[in-house]
Amino acid sequence: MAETHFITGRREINFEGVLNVSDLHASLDHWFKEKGYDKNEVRCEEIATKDGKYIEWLFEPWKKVTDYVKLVIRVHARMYNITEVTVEIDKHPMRMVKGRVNIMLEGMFITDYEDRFDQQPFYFFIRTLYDKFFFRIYTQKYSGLLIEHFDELRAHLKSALNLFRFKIEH
Amino acid sequence: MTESKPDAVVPTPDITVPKSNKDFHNYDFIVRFIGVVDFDALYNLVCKWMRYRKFQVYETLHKFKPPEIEIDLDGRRKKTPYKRDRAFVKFHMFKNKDVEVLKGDKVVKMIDVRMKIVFKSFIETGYSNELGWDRWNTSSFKIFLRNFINRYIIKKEIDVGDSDSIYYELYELQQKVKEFLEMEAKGNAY
Repeated sequence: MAETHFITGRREINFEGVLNVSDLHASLDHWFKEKGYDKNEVRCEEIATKDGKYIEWLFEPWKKVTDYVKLVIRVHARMYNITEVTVEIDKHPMRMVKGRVNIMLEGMFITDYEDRFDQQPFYFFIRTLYDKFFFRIYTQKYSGLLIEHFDELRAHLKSALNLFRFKIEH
Repeated sequence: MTESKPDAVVPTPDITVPKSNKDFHNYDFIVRFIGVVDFDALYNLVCKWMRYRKFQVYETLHKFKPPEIEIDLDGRRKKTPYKRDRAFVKFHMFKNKDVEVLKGDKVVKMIDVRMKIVFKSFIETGYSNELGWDRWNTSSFKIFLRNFINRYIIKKEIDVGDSDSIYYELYELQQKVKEFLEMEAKGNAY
């Protein structure tokens, strides 16, 4: 079985206010495409409730760095009490939504995702030795790359959510 | 004292036959929706999309046990005599009630549902014909040969070319379904 290394831990972004959910989804999609990640939208849920919509997304896009290592960034977004509002921006009415958003991010990399070294216990042992000792430089290099992408994604999401805030005229 | 013979004897599994490695699966993705939907139009949308892309569409499961409804659509598209694309769209819903909605001048019959739609895709190699006969499954040597071809000879071609194309095509269908359901997470950058 492939070995999953959880590198970054879980980081949360919380936001409450007016935002454009479609734009947020599109910006997330574009960001992953630019960085060379393959799309994996595990779950996309929308539930109409009395207090507004409940929206949940779970993305786990992956990037195969080599035939042995792949990076995965998990994005779990939950949006509560989403209701429609019309906002005037530069005298143009725009349809947006308001509500509470909670986005949880987690980064991990997976080694031996094709299960080539799982056939026998000896191969498994050799793989673990190489991962932890002999090819440690490469393991650290991939985890560094993952952390870099993870931080960029966090900054991107924060700036996107902040941007929605600055669009509103009080 | 006579021994009673059993009515049926279940044969032990044949462990000499190697495990068959014939399918290249992609990740599944799910859309869950609770609200009002015109299911007839949604079903037509999915079937027409698949037929337009030259899939042969089979409704392999239609379970109607009110309020539970389960419908499975299996799309098959032959690429070569050895490999073909398979795309599955599975609807699983619980109907609350029938609703009539006024859209413009027309009254449209819709249903208030809790619905889960699962999109699956994979590349099937050495597939059986319409009668269910699989030439690659007739002996251990042929199973070994198929596994060898799939693992070493055409693996890269399928992984990079065929598997990715069907995977992203199905994302296009998912996007159309989300637009139809008027979900917020519309759009697809890929």
